[in-house]
Amino acid sequence: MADGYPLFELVGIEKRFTGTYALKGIDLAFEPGEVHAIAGENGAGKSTLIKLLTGAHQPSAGGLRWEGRPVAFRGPGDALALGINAVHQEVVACPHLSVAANLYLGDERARHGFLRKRAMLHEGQRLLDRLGFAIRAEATLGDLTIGQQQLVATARAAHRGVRFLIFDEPTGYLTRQETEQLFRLIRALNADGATIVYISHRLEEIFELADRVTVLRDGRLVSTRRTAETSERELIRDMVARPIEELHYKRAVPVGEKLLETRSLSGPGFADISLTVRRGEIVGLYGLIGAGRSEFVTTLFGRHRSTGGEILWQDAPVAIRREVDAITLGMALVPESRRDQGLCLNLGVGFNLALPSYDRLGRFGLVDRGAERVLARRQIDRLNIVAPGPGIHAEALSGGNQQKIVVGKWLERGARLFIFDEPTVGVDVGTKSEIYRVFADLLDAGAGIILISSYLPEVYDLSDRLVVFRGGRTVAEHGWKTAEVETILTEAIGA
Amino acid sequence: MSDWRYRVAEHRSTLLAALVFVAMFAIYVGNHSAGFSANVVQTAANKGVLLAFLAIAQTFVVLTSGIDLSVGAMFILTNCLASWIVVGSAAMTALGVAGVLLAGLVCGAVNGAIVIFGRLQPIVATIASGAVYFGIALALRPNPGGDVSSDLADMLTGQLWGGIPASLVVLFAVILAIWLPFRRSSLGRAVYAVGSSEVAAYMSGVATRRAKFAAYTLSGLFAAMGGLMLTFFTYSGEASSANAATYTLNSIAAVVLGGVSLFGGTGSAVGAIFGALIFRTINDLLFVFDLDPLWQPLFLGIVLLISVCIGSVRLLRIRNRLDLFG
Repeated sequence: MADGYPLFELVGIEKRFTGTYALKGIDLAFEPGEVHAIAGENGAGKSTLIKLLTGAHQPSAGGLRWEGRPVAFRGPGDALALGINAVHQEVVACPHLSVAANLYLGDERARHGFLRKRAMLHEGQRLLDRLGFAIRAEATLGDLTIGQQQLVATARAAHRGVRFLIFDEPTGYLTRQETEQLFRLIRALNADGATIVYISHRLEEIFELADRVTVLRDGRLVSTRRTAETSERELIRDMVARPIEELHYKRAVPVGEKLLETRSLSGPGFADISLTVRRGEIVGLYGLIGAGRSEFVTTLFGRHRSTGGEILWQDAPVAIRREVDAITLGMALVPESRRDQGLCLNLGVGFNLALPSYDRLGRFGLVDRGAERVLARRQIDRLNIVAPGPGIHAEALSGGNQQKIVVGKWLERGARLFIFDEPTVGVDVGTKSEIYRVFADLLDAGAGIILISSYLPEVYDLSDRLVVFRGGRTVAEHGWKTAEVETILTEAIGA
Repeated sequence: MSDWRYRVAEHRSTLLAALVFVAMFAIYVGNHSAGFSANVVQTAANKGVLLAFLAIAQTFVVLTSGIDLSVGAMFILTNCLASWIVVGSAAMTALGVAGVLLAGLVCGAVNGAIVIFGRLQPIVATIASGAVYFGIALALRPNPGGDVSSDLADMLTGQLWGGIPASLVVLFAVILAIWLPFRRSSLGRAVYAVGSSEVAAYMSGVATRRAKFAAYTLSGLFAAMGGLMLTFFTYSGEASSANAATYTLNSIAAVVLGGVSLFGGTGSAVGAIFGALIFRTINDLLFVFDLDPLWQPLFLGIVLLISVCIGSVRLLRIRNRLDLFG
């Protein structure tokens, strides 16, 4: 044990993804035995940080120090060997195996190469009992609730005798009771000497658990403070402080007729949502992950059946049962994971642009290639898509240009209401401003936009009306910049 | 603008397969005792065309990122059926041919229906349906035998003017009449889109089920064409389980050799045809170089492994293994 040194230290860490900075200039030291919380909005760089700490990613520049000595991880195995373990928000485990098998995954008890199943079952059950979890070791993991699976993942990390344990938004799916069990476990592990990194949106949890808290914003470290010496107000200010670049385009566009209206719409994951979108306006939906925004729009799009309320399109009640119904009305959903849900990546740009429109290109089921080319050219010019030609595969383009292809294919199909689900996640600053310009062009063309974003500066600057979601309900609606950023974040967190 | 470069890149795998085939075939005829003669070409063509039809059949399904393990059984079933009904007067023969092709369409449509409505994985669905089709073939022809219109058979397996093999002309005609229009049709676009990203296709309002159904049905049709040609070559029907299995597996090998990605969305039937011809030529090469036939499966396997490895070089370039999943 090298006394006096931080247990784990990041020195001048940078992480770039194809030219984009995910993290820049991070200097952070984790003291032995502390509970260190990390807060920040989505896209602030928290998940990249975890991946660096657990060896899943390697830094582009800078270095890591473990007990004062430089270390480099080639993969997660190296980090595990030092006792670094992470419990992820999305459970990473094998749902078809038993709880016991998952507890010992990759670390099985064996004699002469044969599994000692009974021993693992007994030991696993003792571990679960000791931690106070009401879970059977022989149960199949996939049959448990997400919250219980989360507890199993934590137990798995605990039994490995970890020294450095990272929790990534662990309470997102937990009930109040499960959360308390988890907190007790975290405190017990901490008392046994483990250093804990706790990542969460929920400020009250941070104040309940952590000794210190670090705020990240746009890939940079903003502040590290002692929780005893700070307040929720101060942390929120650190999280949302204005970015230096003025990226957001906001042109005054006359607001036109009503496109979409929902009246007390309810469905899986949300209830009693009433809102209106008109031509020429952006309606922003802000909330934390799991607040029900995505469920709301996918229901609008016919993916889930609504359980109450009604949907009106241009003042006429409509029934949307399938995607095609929504598309025919003139709605377009630009999904969050556009790479796999919005695009055929190994096919051409022109192909992707024409995809929803093939039924009207040509006759007798044969595609008119001339018309197909004209269509591709038209959208490439209109949206300024930077591609060497319509034949190039969509995967070769930048994130912003891929986003434009998704927009272009719907414009071609005559869409008038565009729903963007987290359109700027994982794109660089330049691409962001390109995407905002696309918004402006769409509004000029008389379209309406629903913008779902967990990035508050974005929705705040762009939305003509900003609707705040929390726990599947709308908790507030604001006009353009009529509320303080802090107020909105507070409404979303429910602090 | 240099769009033609991407056009070339798009067809690179097809062109590569064609080049490899030409090179191998040149070596073959160069070392054949009879040299480059009409008879050598005709024999080679007739052997290659059977697998080519099955490779096209397989291509349709593989493009949707599925797989059809019943092509061999459909091939054998239609062979047995043809040995009963493609006989007699010209009109009767024509009707028989139509009947055989219809049988193939029905078999393929059943596959499609099971995969789409039964929501079974293609691999399971087609293993099961293939067993059923082979069972029907056995019922039709418990023992090898039967007959086929010899006029038609001789016409389609012989030589045309200038010694061009008729079977190749048939293959060429089918490509012109079915594959090229398919590639240009909105249905064809839908098949490629489904194979590339079913979610993206579905969310773009593409009729994904129709596309898959069509792919399986066309697979049955081309397997039936192969079955007909087999009947014309052998003048009989035989419910050979060895043939059914071999042709199924070889059709997949041919598709891979021809540059059709098993992940779906890329490749073409033309590439698959060259893949099939390459596969047959390897056999012929082993023959002219007098290699012990016992070594053939081993050698074929090695060639296949190497070509699949070349196809997946892309994966080697990925530095971080997480990128594979992300």
